[in-house]
Order: sequence, then structure tokens, then C-alpha cells
Amino acid sequence: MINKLTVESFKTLEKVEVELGTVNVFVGANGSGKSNLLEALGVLASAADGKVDDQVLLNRGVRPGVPELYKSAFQEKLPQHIYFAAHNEKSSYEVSLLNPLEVTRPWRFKTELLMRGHDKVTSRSPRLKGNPNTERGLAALEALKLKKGDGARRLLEQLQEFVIFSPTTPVLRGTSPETKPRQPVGLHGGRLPEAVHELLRSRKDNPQAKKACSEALALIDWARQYGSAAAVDMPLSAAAGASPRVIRFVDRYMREGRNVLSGYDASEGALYVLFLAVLAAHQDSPHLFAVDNADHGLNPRLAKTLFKQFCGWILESPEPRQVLVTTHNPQVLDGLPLRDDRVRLFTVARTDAGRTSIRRVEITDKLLEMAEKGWTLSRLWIMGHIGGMPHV
Amino acid sequence: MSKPVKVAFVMEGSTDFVVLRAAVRALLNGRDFEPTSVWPELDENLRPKAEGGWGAVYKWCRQLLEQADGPARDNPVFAMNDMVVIQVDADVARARYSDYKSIKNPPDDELFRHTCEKPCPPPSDTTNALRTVMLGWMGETAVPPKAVLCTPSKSIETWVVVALFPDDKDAKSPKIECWWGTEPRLRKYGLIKSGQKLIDKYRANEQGIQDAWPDVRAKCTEAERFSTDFLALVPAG
Repeated sequence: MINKLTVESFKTLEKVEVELGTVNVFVGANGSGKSNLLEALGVLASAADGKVDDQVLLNRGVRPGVPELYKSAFQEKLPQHIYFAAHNEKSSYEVSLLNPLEVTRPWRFKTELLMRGHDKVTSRSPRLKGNPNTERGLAALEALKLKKGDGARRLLEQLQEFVIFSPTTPVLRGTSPETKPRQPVGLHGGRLPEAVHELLRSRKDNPQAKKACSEALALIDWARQYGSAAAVDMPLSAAAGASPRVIRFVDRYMREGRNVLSGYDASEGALYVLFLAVLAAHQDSPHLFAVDNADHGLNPRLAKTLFKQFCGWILESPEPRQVLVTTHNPQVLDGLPLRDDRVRLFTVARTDAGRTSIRRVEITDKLLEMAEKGWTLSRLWIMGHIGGMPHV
Repeated sequence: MSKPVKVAFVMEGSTDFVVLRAAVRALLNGRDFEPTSVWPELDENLRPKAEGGWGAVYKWCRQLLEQADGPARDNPVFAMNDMVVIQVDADVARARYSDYKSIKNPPDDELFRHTCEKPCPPPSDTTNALRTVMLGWMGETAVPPKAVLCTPSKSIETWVVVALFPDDKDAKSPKIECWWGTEPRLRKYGLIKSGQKLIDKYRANEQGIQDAWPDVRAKCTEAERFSTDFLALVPAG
């Protein structure tokens, strides 16, 4: 698990250090830098995989940026490079990168350092003899030589899996194509019917999948059953997309024969529930991922309960998973099991000079006492007490 | 790079925030800070139009007390910030709770019995009385350790006039803090129109307020008191 992430000179993140838990929720005003943090991890992940260019960034869900805007520009003098570091229990990977001003060029590696405890596994600096290709990472190559299970290799492998999901309703419904397809679901929610099918099929061998499937159904209170089906076997509007498979819901209120509807016709909230269930419990889901704006289209009470369940699915996963989530829905805060140190809430704000500041909200006895009396975290957040609010 | 100072602002309105932010920028002299604007839970549909911005500060203080269920100083808002600036213009000393129907069960203090306005000069007689009233809203008798009370006399617009229009004949008066004419004067200068403080004009003049802050401190005793109290709470970088 990545327990510390450091970013310097990337967009609004001039110098940020975040101590991560297993589930990490980031709240803050629009434009405060939440997505920048996720994207910083996306760049680091690409570096850990050996190459950083626009295409690999896009494939991880990082928005293609104007090259001039990648580096922080707070000082009169621009920083020389952008720096990232990730630590797990015993290993660390640090890299400083030079981003090109021509979009077509890959980023160049300036320095790299992969450590296992106090031992250096590999490193590079501009003075390194032999002038290795600066457009390729050394650590990614060296990691292949390490034993499976080696802490340093595990760190890189976890980073390499990182992607940012940004689900959108049209893609979840199947009415818009997925531009970032991958297993088990695309970055915008494409392939959800297939992934739901696979998740449901895995129930007999995977108690966690069984639990997630059943709890997801409980969250879709109007549905008696869900699954997926071949599109040709479903009553579908002509406006629905041409996906070969579609999500299939059985409505609990409508009478037999008129109670089957597809993801195209269902409430979008149900699709987001299934999307998060797949990410948490599908065997092919990445071990490290982010969900940006995970609360689209969710009723506040559903958002609260879904996030409570989502935390449970992630924490109880037999596969170790780590998640970063951004949300604007205050109710989500009240669903987080924050007494568990593995679940962490962070506020993200801009300083007066425009720098992104990220602070963990520590759950004190006093806060719990106040919540008991009805002064919940969501209320305190809206009042501005915990930060992460716009000046409006 | 030193750690940004985390400052929460509880204030009457959004133009007050602009003035206070300019003052804090000047006081911190280049050190970065993380400002947070804090508001009470307030349903705007229930808020009578006539209620001034101080009513919001009053409600925030009462909610602070309710949340803490004990001394307001124990409220986590103080632990989560390096300091909490609480601003109420001293013209509120002329008000009475009974003027505002939405204020229920106010504390039995000077604003309840009559007003707390005192002869001016000195401005501090009124502002001291108002500060005692404000502390009472929070159930406190002394300023909580991380709070900074900010009570411009008669209003924060006094500071704006002094900062932006130093050649104004009234801005030069030693009795500027006892003068009731600042808002009409700002109408003349275009910062207030039809009774509305124009946020874009305030923002456009923020740098001017920041640059002139030493003069504002020199001419306005409450600006000086605010500055001294604020600086005493700035943590080491």
C-alpha cells in the first residue's frame, strides 16, 4: 500500500505530502486541486511504468494538459523539474521529470531512485555514465529483475496499475462509446454490463463478490434483481446504444412481463452503485485506483450509504486495494467509517497565493460527540469548519 | 517555504472578507495563508431581508456554543485553524435583538436590555462593550485562545476610506472612527451603489487596502488592535 505520496512543482501542487490510508476521500471547492493530486499520481504511475507521454497519461485518465501548465508557476523562476515520490511500508520510488513543451515528445527522466529499506535498488542522475535513454525509466526495467513479492517491485507494480476513473452517465448507460476501454470497466464506465455479469458469476467462489452484489442490490431499492443480458434479448429503445450486452434490472413494482428494463432506462444512481461495486469487488479491478467525482446522480442518502458500503467492500477485499476518491456530496462524509484509521478524509483548498493545501481531517472525540448530537461532519463542512469550501 | 497559516474568517458579509483578507496579507508580509470563510447554517429563505450581516455572525456564535456543549473555546473549529477571526462592525452597538424577529432567546446582555453604544471618542468604549456582548454570544467571558475579535469602529468601511482615500478631508480627521459618514462617502467614490457594497469594486481595490494597511493601523485604533491580536497568534513558520 502507498502510505505516503509527495508531489512538488506539479500544477497547483507546489509542495504537497499526503499520508494515505486504504480509502482516501478528498473534498474541496471546485478548482482546489483535487483532480491535480489524482493526476500527479497518474504521472508518477506512468514514470513507474517506464514512460510518460500524452498517450499513456490519457490512458490512465490524466487530462491532457497544455505543456506549459504542468509545472507550478508560482515563483518568478520556473522550477527545473517536477518531482514525485511514493512510499510503501519499506520501499520508496522517487522521480524528477522534465516535461517537454512539444506535445508529441515523451517526458524526460532527470533523476530516479528506487529504494528497498536503506538499500538502493536503482538510481539515475543527469551525471549517470553511459547516458541511458532519458525518455525511458530505469526503475521499471530493474524491477523486472527483482523477485516477485519483493517490496520495491510490489511498490512499482501497484503504481503501474493506477488509473483514474471518471464515470459518466451516457457511457454507463451505453449511449456513448467508451474512449478509455479497459478491464474490468472503462475509465468512464464502459463495459459495465460485461463486468457486472463477471462479478455475479464470481459469487460462488468469492464471498466478497457475493456480499458486494447482494449489498448493491439492497441499495437499488426499486429493483428486485439485476444482471446483464444480450441486447437482442432486451426491450430496448432505438435511442439506446448498440452494445452487445446491457444491464438488466427487474423492477419490483411493475407487473410480470412489463418489469424488465435496461441500463438505458434505469435510474443513473443504480448504474453508479454497480460501477463502484465492480471496482471494489471484481477480481480484475486495479489494486490502486481513483474515482474522480464519484457521486454523480446520487441521492444524498444513497451516496452516504453507498460510500459506507464501498469502504467496507474495499477494506474487506481479499485482494489488497487502495482507493482515492473525490466527492462534492456532503452526505458522503457522514457515511465514512472514519474511526477506522484506514479510512481517511482530506480537505483540499487553495492558499491565498493559489497553492493547493491538503489536510487530513482528524476525527477527535469532540467531533464524535458533536456528531452524536446531530452536528455531523457534513454540516460542519458546509459551515466551513473543516475547510475545503469556496469563498462564496 | 513556511507552512501557510490557516485562518478562518467569520464575518458579516463578502466585502468584509475582501477587506480582512487584504489586511491579513499585509500583516503576514509575504507569508502564505489558507483562508476559509465560515458561515452559520442559515436557510436564506428564512432570513429576513432587514437582518444585517451581524445576525449571521450572531447565529454562528450561538451554533458554536450549541455544538461545543460546553465552553465555545472547546469547539474543534479552533483546533482545526491557526486562528478564527470574528468580525462585527461596531455600528451593531446601536442595535437591539428585538429589532430582529429571527433572533430567538438572545442572551440577557446590553443589546437585550438596551444598546451598548457609548459616547465616541473614545471608540474603544463602544467596541469594548460590543466585544463583551460578542463573547456572551459564545458563552465566553474572555476571548478564546485562538480567536481574534475584529470590531471596526463604526464599520469596516472606515478602514476602506482611510486606505483608499487618504486625501479625503474626513479620512484625515483624528475622529474618523467616530464618524458615521463612511458609507455615504463610499457611495460617492463608487464602492457602494443603491445600498449595495459592490464586491467587484472591493476586489479591484484589495491591493490598495493591503498597501495602505500601515496607515490604516496608524489612524484607526481598532485596526491596530486587530493587527496586534492577529500577529500574536501567528504560528512560527
